[in-house]
Amino acid sequence: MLILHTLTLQPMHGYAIAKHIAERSQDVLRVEQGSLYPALERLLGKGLVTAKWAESPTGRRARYYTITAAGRKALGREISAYDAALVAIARVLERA
Amino acid sequence: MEIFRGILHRLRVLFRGEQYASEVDEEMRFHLSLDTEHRMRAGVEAGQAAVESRRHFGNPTYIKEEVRYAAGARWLDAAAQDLRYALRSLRRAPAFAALAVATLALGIGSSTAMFSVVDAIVLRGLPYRDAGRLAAIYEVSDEGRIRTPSYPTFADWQTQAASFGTAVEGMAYIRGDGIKLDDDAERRIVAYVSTGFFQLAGTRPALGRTFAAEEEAAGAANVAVISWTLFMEKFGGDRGVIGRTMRVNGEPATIIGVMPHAFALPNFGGSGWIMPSVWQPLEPRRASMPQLALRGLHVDSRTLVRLRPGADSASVAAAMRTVQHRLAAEYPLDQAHWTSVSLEPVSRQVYGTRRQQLTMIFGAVALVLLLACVNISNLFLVRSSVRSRELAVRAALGASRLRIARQLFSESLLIALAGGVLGVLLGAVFAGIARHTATQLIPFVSEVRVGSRAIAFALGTALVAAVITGALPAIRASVGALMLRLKSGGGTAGGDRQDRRIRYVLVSVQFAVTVTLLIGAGLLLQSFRRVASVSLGYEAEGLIEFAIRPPSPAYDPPDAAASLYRRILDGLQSTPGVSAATAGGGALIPVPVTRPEASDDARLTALYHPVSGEYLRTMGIPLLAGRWFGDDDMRVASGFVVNDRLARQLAPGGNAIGMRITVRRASQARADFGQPITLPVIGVVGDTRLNGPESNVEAEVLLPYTLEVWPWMRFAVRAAAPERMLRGIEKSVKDVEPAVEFLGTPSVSRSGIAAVDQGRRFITMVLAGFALAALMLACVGLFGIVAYGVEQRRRELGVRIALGASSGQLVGVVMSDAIVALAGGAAVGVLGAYYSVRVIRGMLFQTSLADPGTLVAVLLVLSAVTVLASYAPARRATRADPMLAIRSD
Repeated sequence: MLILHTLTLQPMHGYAIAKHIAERSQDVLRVEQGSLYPALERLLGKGLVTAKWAESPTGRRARYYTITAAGRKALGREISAYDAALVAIARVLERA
Repeated sequence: MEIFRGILHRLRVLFRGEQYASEVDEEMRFHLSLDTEHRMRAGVEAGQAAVESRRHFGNPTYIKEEVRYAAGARWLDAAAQDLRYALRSLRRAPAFAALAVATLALGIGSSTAMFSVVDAIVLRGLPYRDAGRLAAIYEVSDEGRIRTPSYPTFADWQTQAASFGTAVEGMAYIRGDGIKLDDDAERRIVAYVSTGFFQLAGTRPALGRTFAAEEEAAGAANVAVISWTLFMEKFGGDRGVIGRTMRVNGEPATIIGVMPHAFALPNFGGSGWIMPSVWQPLEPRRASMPQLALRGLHVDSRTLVRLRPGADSASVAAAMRTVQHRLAAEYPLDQAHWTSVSLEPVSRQVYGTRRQQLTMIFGAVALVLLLACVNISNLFLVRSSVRSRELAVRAALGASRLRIARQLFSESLLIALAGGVLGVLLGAVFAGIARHTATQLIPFVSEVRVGSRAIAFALGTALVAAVITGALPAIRASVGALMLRLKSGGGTAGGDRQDRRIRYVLVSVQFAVTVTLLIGAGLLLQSFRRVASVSLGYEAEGLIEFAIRPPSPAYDPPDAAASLYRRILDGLQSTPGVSAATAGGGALIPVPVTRPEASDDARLTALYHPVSGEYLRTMGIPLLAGRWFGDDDMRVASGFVVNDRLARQLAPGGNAIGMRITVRRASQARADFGQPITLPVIGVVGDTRLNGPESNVEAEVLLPYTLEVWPWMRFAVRAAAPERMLRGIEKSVKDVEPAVEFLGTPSVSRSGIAAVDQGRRFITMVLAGFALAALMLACVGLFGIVAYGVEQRRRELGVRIALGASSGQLVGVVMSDAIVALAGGAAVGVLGAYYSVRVIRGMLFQTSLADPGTLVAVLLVLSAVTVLASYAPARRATRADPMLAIRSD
């Protein structure tokens, strides 16, 4: 979900995605960066993102990921589900 | 839509595995180097930064694996591993693999060939609009005899259409004739069709068009539609044929259309297929066909009818009964007692009894395939119990039951696929054989090809076979492996009783199937034998037969034709090597026979048979009473000769000689067609089956050929060395009149086995072949099982020997299982055969379904096979050294 959202901003390569999530979450979400790539592979397999090799600003070759329309739809669904879960959890905790 | 992008990606990963792996690698290196740079910019020194990056990233090798798994590679790896393992283990047992593949290939090959046959005929469907509602219609007499309606009757039906308006949508009358196209030597069939025929059939032409309304009116220009076969054979498939002119019996006609290959209306043949090559409108030429106006003309035509939706033959028959009664009252001579109709759906016309025979072959093929699968399944079972130790080790090393089962299943999958591929090739070969030999049996036989549908069928069958052969052994083996883990030592003896029982049950199944096939084959063989021994009533062996047509117009007058026939006979008789020659018969049409003096309720019909004086002697037919035609009779006819059948009908229990009978002239080409001739019966001759051993005896009335000079004539010649005489015969006929046209080619007739019809021969051979294959498979299967069983029970048998068992007792112990399997299988098989053999009831000749001779023979054969197959290994068991057996592990 986080990867997909990050990609709605602009196409990025893997490192940039990892950096973005780390910065935005203020280092709270510090997942092993390597686990990014299997996740990206699964997204590719489901057609939610596409990948293309391009030149990075530093002139080196990097693989850039772009979100697809299907990806946006999936993101929307996931965020709604997340929100609903959040509300449910909050209710339970308040009741508790 | 984007799901496809995902699938495309997966495929790319699948097929470009290595390239993709290096891409992922490069991507991760990029990531690491960026991260290192980032840290260096933050002040960390280079080496330290690299280490931190790596630690922060995680283990790249592990991550690469994870990426691979995320891409779905896990399943691929496992499958590849299974297949490699299967290939290795099969390579270690080449005999087993070869046998299994060969068996399966045979089974799949024959199924595929049969599928192609069925496909060519049935699945392709009939090309007519709503083919189920198209039927041929016949008149039926009160005793159930059948004939095609004459043209005047058809015309009456059409004008009185209001009577059956709701049941019938339309009708067509088609008259057939033999014609010559351009200067071609061979004759072809033309169909003159009444108005609206092609609309009735509802088939679109493959090329061009069908008749327009003005072309079907009187006085129209001469047009023709041709068949696909003619299109290919005569015009080589040249599409420019539309608009070309060809001469039909000398008259130019413009070709306006070509019908598709499957269009075969009407079928002028009876049990065979006689299809038209050319269709022309009937209406414009009705004036030049005076015979059509005759109510008594019931041959060379077909009448088709299309039923309205919702109507069935019963409602049509009911609707037409009133019309038929009316006609019977108006035209008592021709229509009396013909008061109902019967319909024959066009599909049955095309397939007819052949469908039954084809079903039978298909069933036999399926059974043999099942047999092959069961055999292979048994082989697999045996193999897996041999490998039980290896499997136990695998299980101990952590393989799950599912994994082991999957590995074993891959073996059967490989074998099935190999068998499938080989089977497709074999199927193509079998289809080719069928195309050449089964021309009488299968309609559209030239269409029988192994196409993409057949290949898909073959592979599907292979997969099913894989499941059947592999599932049971795989499951049992995986169970066995697990159990062995719990046992120590034990080796091959564990869990065996149940295994053995299963194997013998499979053998029983094989026997049951074999028994069914053997009984079917046995019944057909009996029928074949009985057909071959039917007496034809005349000396058929070595008789040369041919038919000729004298050229028009020189021999149109009957006297000219008669004298030509006489000169030909004289020429034949003076040819060296010829011992006798005769002229015998035109078209052998059934005609009504009446007795002018008796009040005739008898309604007899007989075949109208003009013959020459040499007929009796040449054919070798006995004279039973009275006298035969002499030379005087050839000049002036003084009487008829009838055969025994007609004699008994004319005078049951009494003497037919001297009885006066009337027949009507039956040659349509003669002006005096239909005129009655009344003469006394002067002789009675023996019955003959002129149409082969399976035809019925028909009543015959013989008359001098000079009395009714047929426009074409059959001849029969008896000569010493018939095959070598054929040329000489042709030459001597041509010497008399070079312009004579031979109808068909002269042939030598045979009696006995050679006289049996080609279709029956083919069917019998095929089923016998299958039964033999089944027997061999069952034999091999049984042999294998018994031999293996002996191996397995070595220790037990060793103990028995040590305890003093005699060889006889040992053999008995080993064979008892086989015999029980035989008994069980045979019992089930006989019951099964009783039901399934009904399919071939129509093909049996003077043989009942429960023919005792066949049953006994089959059981004897099977018992012999069982004893043979099990005795050898049983004997070997008795020679086992008891000490070795006990000590063996």
